[in-house]
Amino acid sequence: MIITNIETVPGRVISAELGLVQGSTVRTKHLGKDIGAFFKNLVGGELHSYTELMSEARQEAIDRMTEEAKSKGADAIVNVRLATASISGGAAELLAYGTAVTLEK
Amino acid sequence: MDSVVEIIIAEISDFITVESLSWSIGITLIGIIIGYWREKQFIKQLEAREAVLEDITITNHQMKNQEIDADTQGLIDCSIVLSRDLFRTFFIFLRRLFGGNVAGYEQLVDLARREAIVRMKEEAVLRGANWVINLKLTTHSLNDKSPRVEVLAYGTALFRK
Repeated sequence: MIITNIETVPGRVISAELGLVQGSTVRTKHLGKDIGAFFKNLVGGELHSYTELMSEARQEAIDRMTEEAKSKGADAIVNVRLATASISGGAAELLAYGTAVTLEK
Repeated sequence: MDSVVEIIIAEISDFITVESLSWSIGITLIGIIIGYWREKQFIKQLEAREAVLEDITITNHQMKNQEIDADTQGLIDCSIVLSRDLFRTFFIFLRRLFGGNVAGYEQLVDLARREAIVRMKEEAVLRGANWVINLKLTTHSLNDKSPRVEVLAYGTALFRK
């Protein structure tokens, strides 16, 4: 599965568009890591546990989107957008959406 | 009247002793020094990595009107959650009384953005790409109370022949 965030797939020709596909996930860290992040916050710097949380969740959202595209029989997803929203406290929603397409062989 | 003030002072001094005050000032100072030192280290290693990855081109347009002779390596997304130490956050709170540029936050988001772009370039190198097009940058605040900012950079990695 090729995923791009431009309207085409460079080097390949798009044969058909299959419509919008999307995947989202809402995640939170357990309280222990939240408390750890608070102490890290005292001195500043990167909060690794949160970076990890966000990238894991983003990968999960992309995976769900990819699964939906596969079930439609797509070869690639173009024009993918990623969005993040805080729901409350440590919980974050990550959304990935794009257009599923088939490619000429 | 005097006796009331004396009682209040006596009550407060039960909570705030010289010992506890020196503890909190000590922790604050250590926090500021460690925070400052860590930030310097962070900037130093960021500059070194930026210098190495200079030859990877990044654009934020789609190359629609151009023939692209390239292989698609796919979407890459890299993010960082960066925070500012709580003690300098207090000075930023003071800044809010007068308004104006908040240099502390400006530097925070600028550093986070640079780090996210550098990570994206490193990811591109790992995938064997030498070109990242249609770069998008988003900034997202994780928490209102303390400054934790997440910067996400994503784009399409290509190998230009």
